[in-house]
Amino acid sequence: MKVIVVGAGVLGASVARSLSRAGEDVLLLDRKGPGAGTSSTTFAWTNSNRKPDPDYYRLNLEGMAEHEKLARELPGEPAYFRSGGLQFADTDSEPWLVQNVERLRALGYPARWVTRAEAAPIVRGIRIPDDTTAIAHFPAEGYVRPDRLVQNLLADAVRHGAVLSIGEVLSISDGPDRASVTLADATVHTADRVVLAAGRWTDDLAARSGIDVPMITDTGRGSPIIGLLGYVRFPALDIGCVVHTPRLNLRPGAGLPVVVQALDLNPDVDPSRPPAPGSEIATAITRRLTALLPDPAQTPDIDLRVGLRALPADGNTIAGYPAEHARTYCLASHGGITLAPLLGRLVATEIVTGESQELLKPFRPSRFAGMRRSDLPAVPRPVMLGEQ
Amino acid sequence: MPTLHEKIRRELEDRIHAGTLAPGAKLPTELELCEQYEVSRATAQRVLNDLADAGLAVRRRRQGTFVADVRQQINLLSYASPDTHVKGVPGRHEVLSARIVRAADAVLELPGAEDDTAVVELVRRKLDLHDQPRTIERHVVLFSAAPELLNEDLAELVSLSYLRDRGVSIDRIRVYLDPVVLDEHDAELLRSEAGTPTLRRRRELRAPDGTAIEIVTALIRPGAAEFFVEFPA
Repeated sequence: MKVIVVGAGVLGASVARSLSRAGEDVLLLDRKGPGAGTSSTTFAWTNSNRKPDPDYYRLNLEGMAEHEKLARELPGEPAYFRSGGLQFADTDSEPWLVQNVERLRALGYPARWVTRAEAAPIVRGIRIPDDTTAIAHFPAEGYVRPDRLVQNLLADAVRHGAVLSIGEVLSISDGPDRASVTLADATVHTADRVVLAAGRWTDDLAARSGIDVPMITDTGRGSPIIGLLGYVRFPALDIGCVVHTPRLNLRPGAGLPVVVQALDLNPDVDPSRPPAPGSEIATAITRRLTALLPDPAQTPDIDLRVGLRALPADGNTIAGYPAEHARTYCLASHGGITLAPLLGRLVATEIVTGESQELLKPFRPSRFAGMRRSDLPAVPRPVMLGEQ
Repeated sequence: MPTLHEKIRRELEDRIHAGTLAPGAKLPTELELCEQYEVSRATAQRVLNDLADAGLAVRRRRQGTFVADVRQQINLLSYASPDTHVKGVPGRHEVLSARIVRAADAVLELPGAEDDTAVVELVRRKLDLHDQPRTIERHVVLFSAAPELLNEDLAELVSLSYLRDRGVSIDRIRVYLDPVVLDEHDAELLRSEAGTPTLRRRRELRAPDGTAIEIVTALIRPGAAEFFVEFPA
């Protein structure tokens, strides 16, 4: 079977890998290059820490397990690190953290309370804030180096015969026998199946192909898809795991800069003008980071980048054919880093065998059928720990 | 539809590029063009002026219009030096294809690479200032050495400096000059004729452990360049 995968981000690369390993003839198309969109600007924390929807919780939990499995079999430099995660609460956030830990424990999610002395060797190079009143440890969580994950998935896909070609897809059309994909340079490719995995451009590309994949695409100030990330150029900063503090979240860089985020500042970020060094936002982030450093006299250099999330309209994954007998499979999700290995395998299985996968059933694009976009509930902006 | 003067100009351009109108040859006069193509004097004049503006012809008062010598002068000694392509020659690159494929399926063989190793493959056409094709460049780079190469502006990319800036360790650069004969595909891209002999510059980059990091070829449009070496007398 010939399959065209549109989008070489982490999801597209993962689907392409699973398909090519299953022996399918795969052409992966991307407008720019592998991992050039949202996959390059992400906090990349593998978790199912704050997913109230039970189906979505289970999908993310399985996603974490799939990373363990993939890390054992995928060649290349290590891309996945099961570092665990630590969350520090102060008096204000403690009730919220307690409630979440209890909820997660009831679900069987690995979570435990630790003392400062127990947390110190896990977190390594930062100071636990003095006003910390509770520390939760989530040993099954971890993080990904997104560039390597995309590269390793892609190299393995190519090893099994997949081809990535640079080209901008204008539209996809389903025919009775074949689907065809038209590129900006007027090239037309045909295939038995097309997987539309164009990240935050999926909604637009689907619309041009007559398919409804409702996503949040507003990029104006205050939009929930805006996520500011800081890349800390400070080699002395060595952190041992993903850390959430009341004012700053941190993720190890694994050879690249440590990544930080401050969710409460996102509403003030204008994505068309990322905060410059010395701006109010940049200063706030630097101050919050400095407060965590063993030597507060040091001021690390932070490179700020605005990430735009791929976010389906109801916040949950979209995976499936928009209609019976359709040849174009739609795949869009927030949390692509946690979910990519699992979604790659499940989506490829559905395409190859035609058998519906249990975990994906709650996430079909048909759930939006007949709904006007204005009727969809607004997705709240992530502000609290783990909502990002 | 090209206009009449464009059509005539294109015909003359093709003859100049094919070499049937050699550098220094006299082009038809305005009157001759008027008769031959049954066009107005203004149209004929426009054709010759356009050719002159494009640098393909030289108009000399009272003598006529002559084919300009547009051949690039290439010093083989500097051409074989690794940094030639870092400076580059004026003109733009047109990206013909950019892919990541198995080494076995790439347009060039990357020496020593296993068949199923992923490589980045980039094919570009270099155009001169008059938008005439000058060379076809083919790059095959080890994907693991430059996984984000395709995210670059591929029309501007200079691979050697890109790799150096990325900290890719390059120990050895070897340049070959291969005499080749154009196949139909390349002849069409270079607006030349299949079967015409030309030169191909081939450059290999190797890591300290001997692994080939990149192979690049530049196929030169026949007649577009003269090669020389020069020594102090």
